[in-house]
Order: sequence, then structure tokens, then C-alpha cells
Amino acid sequence: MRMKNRFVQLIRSCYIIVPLILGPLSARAAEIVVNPGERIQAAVNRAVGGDTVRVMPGLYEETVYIDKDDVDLIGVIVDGARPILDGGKKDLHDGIIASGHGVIISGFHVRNYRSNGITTQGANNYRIHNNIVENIFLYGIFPQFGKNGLVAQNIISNTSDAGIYVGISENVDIIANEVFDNALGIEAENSHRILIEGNYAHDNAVGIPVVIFPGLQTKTAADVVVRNNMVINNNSTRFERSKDHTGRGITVTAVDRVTIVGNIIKGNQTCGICIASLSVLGGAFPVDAAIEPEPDETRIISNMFINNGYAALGLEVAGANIENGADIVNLARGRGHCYAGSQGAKQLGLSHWIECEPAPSRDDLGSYQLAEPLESQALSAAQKVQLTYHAVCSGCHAYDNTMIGPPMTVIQALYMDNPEGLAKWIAAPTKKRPIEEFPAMPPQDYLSEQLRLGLAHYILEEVGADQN
Amino acid sequence: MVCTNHRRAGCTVQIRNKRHQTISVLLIKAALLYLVALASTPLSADAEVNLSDRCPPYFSLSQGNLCRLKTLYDLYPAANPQWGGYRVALPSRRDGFTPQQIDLGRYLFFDSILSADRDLSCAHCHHPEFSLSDGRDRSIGRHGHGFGPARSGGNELPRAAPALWNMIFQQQFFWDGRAASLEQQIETVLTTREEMATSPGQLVASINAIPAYRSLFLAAFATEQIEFEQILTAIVAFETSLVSLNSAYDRYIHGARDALSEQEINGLNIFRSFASRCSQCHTPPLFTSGQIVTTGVPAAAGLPFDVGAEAVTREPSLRGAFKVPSLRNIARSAPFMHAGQARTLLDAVDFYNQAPGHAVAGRSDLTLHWHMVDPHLRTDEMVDLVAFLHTLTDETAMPVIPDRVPSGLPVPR
Repeated sequence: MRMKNRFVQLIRSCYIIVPLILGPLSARAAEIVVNPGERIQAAVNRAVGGDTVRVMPGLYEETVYIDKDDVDLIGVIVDGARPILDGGKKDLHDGIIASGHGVIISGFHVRNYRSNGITTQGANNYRIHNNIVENIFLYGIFPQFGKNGLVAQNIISNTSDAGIYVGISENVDIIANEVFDNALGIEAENSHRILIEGNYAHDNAVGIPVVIFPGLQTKTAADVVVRNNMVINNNSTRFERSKDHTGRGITVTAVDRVTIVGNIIKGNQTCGICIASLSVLGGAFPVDAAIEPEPDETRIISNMFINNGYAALGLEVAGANIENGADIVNLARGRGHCYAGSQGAKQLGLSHWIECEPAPSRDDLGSYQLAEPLESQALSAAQKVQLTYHAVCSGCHAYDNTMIGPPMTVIQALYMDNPEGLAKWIAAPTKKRPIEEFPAMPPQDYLSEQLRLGLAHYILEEVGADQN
Repeated sequence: MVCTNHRRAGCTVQIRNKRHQTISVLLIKAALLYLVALASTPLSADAEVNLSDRCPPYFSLSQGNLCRLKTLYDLYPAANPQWGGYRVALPSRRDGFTPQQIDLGRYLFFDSILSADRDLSCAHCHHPEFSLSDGRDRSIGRHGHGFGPARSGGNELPRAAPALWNMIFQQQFFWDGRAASLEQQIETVLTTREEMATSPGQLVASINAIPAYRSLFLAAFATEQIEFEQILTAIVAFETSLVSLNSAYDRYIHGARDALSEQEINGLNIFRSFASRCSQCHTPPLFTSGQIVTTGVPAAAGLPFDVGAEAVTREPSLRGAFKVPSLRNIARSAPFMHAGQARTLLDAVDFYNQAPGHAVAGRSDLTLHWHMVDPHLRTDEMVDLVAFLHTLTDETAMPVIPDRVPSGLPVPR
């Protein structure tokens, strides 16, 4: 009982003083400087949560991947010179990949990669800003499967798909980027709560497509605000995949509640804004019965339209190609679309649209980013220890019978008065018994020191007849 | 009854005369059942089979005597559980069965009493030795002999047996996604003529006739009279306990940098690159998006093209579409694809590395998923990718094969 109380005290003190997390916790955030000739990845490998990796100007030919949280990867710009990540010579896939949450990627010039320039997969709370990305086979900047992010002040050109592609995401602001000479400028796909604001999208095949695609994990897309962008001369035919559908400024495909407000939309030859149902994708995509194919509640308010739709390309109305588009072309049904008067737009297919209520001002909607970073479920230190015991240890150890590893009763007898010794051993197990009897235990050094000590106390003092 | 030897009388009759075939098959079946009955003695109520009162690995016993899955992925933020990712929470799970129900399900899973002929258990095609699959191109249902790759004779089914890892997270079942629950999936296999060929009534009667099962169901469900739904529940309880979330890959993603080699990490980076797009459908942490997808896998040699989900949905654009299988423990469950079209992982990777539709050339009626692209991976990159796939192996939750099952029938081992 006395031991149990001590354990409770220990856990409580840890809970108050040091939050237990997965992975080592740095006492003080460090800065790791990378100079030309060194590998950025080596620095990222050394970094722990809270650290900043600063990369000096020079040429770096590698793929940098960040599979840990809260690491800042900063390119240091000196007299206009940036660190250059170049994948060309080594035929590399991606410039920077991040799966960790809370990363900042800034200050780089990323070029010549086979897949993406900068991509996040499953990362939340990210910020990607002040990067130059060019000559990328697919996407320049590609955050995916993430919530709460910012993509701002980047310049992306010459990607054969999208310059910026936000896929299957929520609560992302895409602000003040320049995207040009790409197949697509800024694409928001199968996403919710995306703010695309103040960007300059020019000379792409399509400036800003907002779309839902079938056959993916998410079956809805909604609440996208396209505000105060310059969407100009998106008539590029240089990329095979988009040359038959070029000339589009902003497109909305089956996404609900898209608000297009305050943009300058100029010189896009097929349409300034095209609204379409999912069927516009045609037979190249499978039918996804879970997706409602019509866009609803598109709002077009206070935009400036100049000379769009002068030579339509790939635009079909009722199965027939039409020669001239318009500033706004609606090919969809859907309900609740609205248009605020006095924009002077040449229109096609908007006769049933209603007059809009006023658009949300910047005071109403300044950002779709979350006020606070998305956090994990709040667990006490004791809960985390208990969870880890079952999530990891119980796979091989039972209390009093032999599974893959020896029973906990044996471990308790071995380390009765030595929780520190057990915590140390968990991180770097050495063979105690013949390999024929038990396979080698993998090191559990990814669990923080505090968590391992908590586990050791738990195993020695708590695991018993009432446990699994 | 399988005609592996046509000199046997039963087979000759079977070929010549349909009516005689029926009679002869019935007679032989009756004789076989009698022999099985003689050889296997159902265990009495107080026989040595006892149900565990502890949860399986990775589950903890919570209030109400219910087992709850615990995983380190629970420590990550939950953005949208459908998406997937790396350091992310898992989607909702089907846990909350009692230790007794799970363990009873284990006995049922290995017990051939589930089949009409009393010679086929779940484990014949989902065997621990073959990572809960059977190592065959296509599984053999009724009238077969043996288990795993050595199973022979009998009804060859059109598709491979999927490995049963992480069913606890799945929303639809079978390669064509035609079952919306594990219960529905299990009932289909139990009652399909080419597989277990039983009926709910027959199964309930068989199980109720075994004293040991009555005692076990009493312990697990507090019921005197065993019902079909309880049989299904117990098997579901067991199957959802088969989790695999502690591979070298998982340790790496939780922060153990050294858990993967440089080659394996390179494979991971190719896996998640958008040139290859593997992670778009085989999305971590479960390594499946759960979607139904046409990839253009050709018909298996000598068989007609399998239309997959089109037959279920009547949707022509889903012709040849199949559920994206999880890659967890994939290195342990060759051959691959829905009917064994790829022998090795390198074969499977090579299939995806070629031009989309290359293996079904000439067919213009397939709507390949738009993530099917031509990745142009070099051979060394494919080798690294395969090395990465080997890091997804974790069979620590592999169930223990029971020494005996309540029916007394032979346990496949």
C-alpha cells in the first residue's frame, strides 16, 4: 500500500511538473544549424520537439522527412540567397515530407522533384510559408489529411499538376501565394473550411479549382471561401493533363457552400467562374454513390470580371461544345446558389440564382485556422502509463502466464526494488534467456524516460491479479 | 466428397447419373458423418475447456467486464478519423466484448462443427500458420481436405481468403464489400453452399447438442438456449481481437528512429510519394482507405474476369473493383491480389509500376481509379518499397490454436 501511494505521488508530481509525452522531451529548445555539404536530414534526426533546424544557403540534394512533432525547418535567407533543395540529379521523389504535427517549413527554394515539392501527410497545425517551389512533376505544396494549417507567401511555378493542392483537409488558410505556369494553380479537394485569400493565380490552365473527387475517404466537401484573389489569364496549354480544359479562372465542382468574393477575375478564356456537378468529370472517374453530385449554395459576390469566356475550350452545354463561355458559367443544378448584383458579369446558366445576402466580412471570417492547435486527448500521466502498458507490453507479456515473453510475475521478482533498472532495460533490452525460449524484445526507447519509469513502477507495483 | 480418384465407386456414379449421384453422395456423407462421430467425441459440460477471464493482448478489461483496445495511436490528435495519416488517431473501433465471448469465439473459429459436413472451420482458410489467411491463390471451401496451401480437392472459390488483421476497424467486408458487418460476412460464409453450407437452424441444433458448448455459452452469454446471433457475436468478438499495430513501422512512427533501416525508410518515402501513390489507397495507420477500387488486376489464369463490386452495386464503373486490402502483415500472406495474381510482393509492386491497365489491355470497360498512375520506379526503388512492406509485420496478437474444441472434431494444425 505504501508503495502504491508513493507511485501515486510520483505520477501526480510528474503530471504537474512534466507532461509525459511520447518521445524524448527536450529540456530546452535547441537550434541546429546545417551548412552546405551537410545533410539536412541528419539535423532533423537529431532534433526533438521544440527544436529549430536552420539551413544555411547552398545546394542540398536530398529528401527531407520530418516524422516527429514540433520541429521547425527554416531556410536562412542571406542577401537574397536561400538554401536550395534540388532533387534533379538524384532523381528524388519529394523535397520535404512532414508527418509530424506543428511543423514550420519556411525559407526554402525547392526544385526538380519527381513527386512533390513540400508535402505533409496526416500533419496538423502546420505552417508552410515563404518558399519558392518550381519544376515539380506533381504538386508544388501539398498538405493532405491534416487539420489546421497555413500555406502563405509561397511562389510556386512549373508544376505539371497543382501548384498548391490541399487534399482531404480541414481548417486551412491559403494566403498571399503566387502560383503560375502550373496545370492548376490552387486546388482544394475533398476538404472543408478552406480560406483561399489574396493569392495571385495566373497563367495556369485552371486558376483555383475547388473540387470533390470520388473514390476517396471523404464523401463531402464544403465551406470554401475564395476571397480577394487575382485570377488572371489562366489559359496555359503546356501540360498534357489540362490542355483540353484550360481557360478557367475559378471552378467549383460539386462542393457545397463555396463563397467567391472580392476577386479580380480577368482574361480566362473559357470562364471566369465555372460551376459544375460531379458529372463534369465524365467517364474517367467511377460513380461514387456516397457523394451528392450537385454543388449547393455557391455565392458569387462583389468580384471584378474582365474579359472572361472569350474562346471556350472543352465547355459542353447539353452535350454540345459551345464556342463562347462567359464570366460565370453554371453547368450544375444544385440549390440555393446566389449572385449579388452589380458585378457586371456576363452570365450563362444563372437565371434561377437568387440574390445574395451580404458576404461575411473579414471581421466575420478572418481565418479558418483554429484558435488553438489541435491537441491530443487529455490523459493524466497515470492514464498514459496504463494505456501504454496495454498498448505495448501486453502484446507479449501476461501477468502470470507465458506468452511471447515471460510473465510479469517473473519480471516483478527480478526487479522488485529496482524500477529504475527496469525502466533502463525497457529502453535497451539485452537477452536474458536463450533466443529459443523467448524472442528478443524490441527496444522501447521511443517512450520517454518518464513514461518508461512510470511503466516500470506500474509493472512492479500495480500489475497483479486484477490486471490482464 | 471430392473425386480425386475416379476409380472410386462414388465418383463413377457421380459422373454418370445425377440422381444416383445425389443418393450416393448422401450415403457416403452419412457414412463419413458416422465415422467422424465415432472418431470425435463431443466434450461433456465439465470437460477441460474453460473460457479465459482475461482480455487478449492489447485489450484492457474495463467496467462491465468488457475488453477495450488500447493503442499508442490513442495518444495522437484526432483530426478526422476517416483520413488516416501517420501520428494520428485511429477510426472508431468495434470493441467491448467480454473476455469470455472472445475466447468462446476462438473455440468456434477453430471448430469444424460450424460446417454442414463437420470438416471445415474458419481456421482452415484463416490459419495462424499463414497469418490468418491460407497461402492459396484462391481458397477451397466445401469438400476439401487439409488447411492452408496444402488444402486440396473440393470447391475452389473464386477469390483468396483475406487475412483477418484489424477487422475491428473495418466497415465493409469481402473483397467486393458486399457485407456491411462482420456478422453478415460470417453468416454468408456459414450458409453459402460452396463453403460451410450450413443453416442457422442446423448450426444452432448442432451446437446446442454439445454439452460443453452449452456450458460455455452459459458462461459467455448467460443463456441456457444457444441462439444463432450469439454464435455470430462470439465469432465477431474473437475476430475483432486480432489486431496488428506494433510492427517495426509503428515503433518508427512513434519515434524509434532506429526501428527502420535507411533502406526501409527510403521505401516508406517512396510509399508515400505521390509518384507511386501507394499511401493514397493503402493509407496508414491501417494501410487501407477502406474504399472499393478498380486497379485493373487481370483475371486469374484459366478463370473468367471477376467483375467484383459491379455484381453487388450494379454500377458499371465499379466493374473489376475490389476493397483495398490492408498491408498490415502483408509479407506473411502471399500470394497477393484477390485471386493470387501476384506471387511475390515484388510482383505486386511491379504490377503497380507499369502503365495503368497494362494487364487488362484491350478492355475499355474498366474505370481505373484515378490514383492508378505510371510511377516509373526504378528497380532499386521497388526493392526498397518491398523492404518497407516487410516492416509492417506484427503477429504478436496471433491467437493460440486450441488443443481441443468442444465438438471433439479435429483442429486444423
